[in-house]
Amino acid sequence: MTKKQWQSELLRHLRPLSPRERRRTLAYYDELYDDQLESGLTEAQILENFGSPAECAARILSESGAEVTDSSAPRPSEQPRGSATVAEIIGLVFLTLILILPLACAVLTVILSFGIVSLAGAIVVIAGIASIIIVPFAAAGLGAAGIVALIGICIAVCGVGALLFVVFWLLTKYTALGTFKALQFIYMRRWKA
Amino acid sequence: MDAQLKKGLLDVCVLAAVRREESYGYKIISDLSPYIDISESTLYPILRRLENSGAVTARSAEYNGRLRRYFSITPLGLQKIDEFIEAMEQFKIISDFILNGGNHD
Repeated sequence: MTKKQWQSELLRHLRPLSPRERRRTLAYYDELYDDQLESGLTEAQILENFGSPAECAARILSESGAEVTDSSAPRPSEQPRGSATVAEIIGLVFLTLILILPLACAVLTVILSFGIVSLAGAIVVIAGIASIIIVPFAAAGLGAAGIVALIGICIAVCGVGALLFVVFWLLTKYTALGTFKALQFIYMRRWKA
Repeated sequence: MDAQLKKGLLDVCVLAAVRREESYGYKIISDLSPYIDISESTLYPILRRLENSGAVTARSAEYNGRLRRYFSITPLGLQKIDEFIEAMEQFKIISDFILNGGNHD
């Protein structure tokens, strides 16, 4: 394990702590790392001295839990929680009416038009294939060269149709998926918390 | 050593390590390790606890182009050391009693 890996592992385990507390912890281990490096130890030796990131984090976390129960003052972040959620819901309702609903309509229209273009692409492909079959009979008067030229045009049209179908089908799919994810992010996260 | 006993002892040891002059993480560990088993990961929560309770204060200062946190003792920290010494005197009496097999002299 390298120092970087050790640190990121430690940070991962310290997620329950505030960003400030995490920075502090990292700074502490950084300082001790540099001090030990200067005293002649290698990276591997120092990290062995530190022990596993999970253990270090567990010590710190159990200690921070003890502090919460020890101190008589309530933590500032916990006190206004109830009112904050009510404010959040009201805010969310306004956000929905003013911003998200019109935006969702616009996005829905875009998704719909993508879908229609994709469908049109599919129809063009079908029509192109049908034309290739019909051309030799319908345009027999043009001669062999004329028929070949027409079939060539039909194939080209088919290609364009296929391209439209695929591209706009993907656009429809991913725009819809993205919108769904965004809505889920905006609404679900708050209810879970 | 009993974990609970060691925890209390370590707090006082760290206070003693910064008593005469301010010190920093690595030096505290180096100074204490001949006497008591202490590691980087044990020291950090102790320093945080002592700092939060006001027994030590910390300042960051530049050393060798990087930052180091220096800890120094406060009057409250000194008081905690005195309390510990007092408690040890009582402890001594009790331990003598235990060593004597429960007999008074």
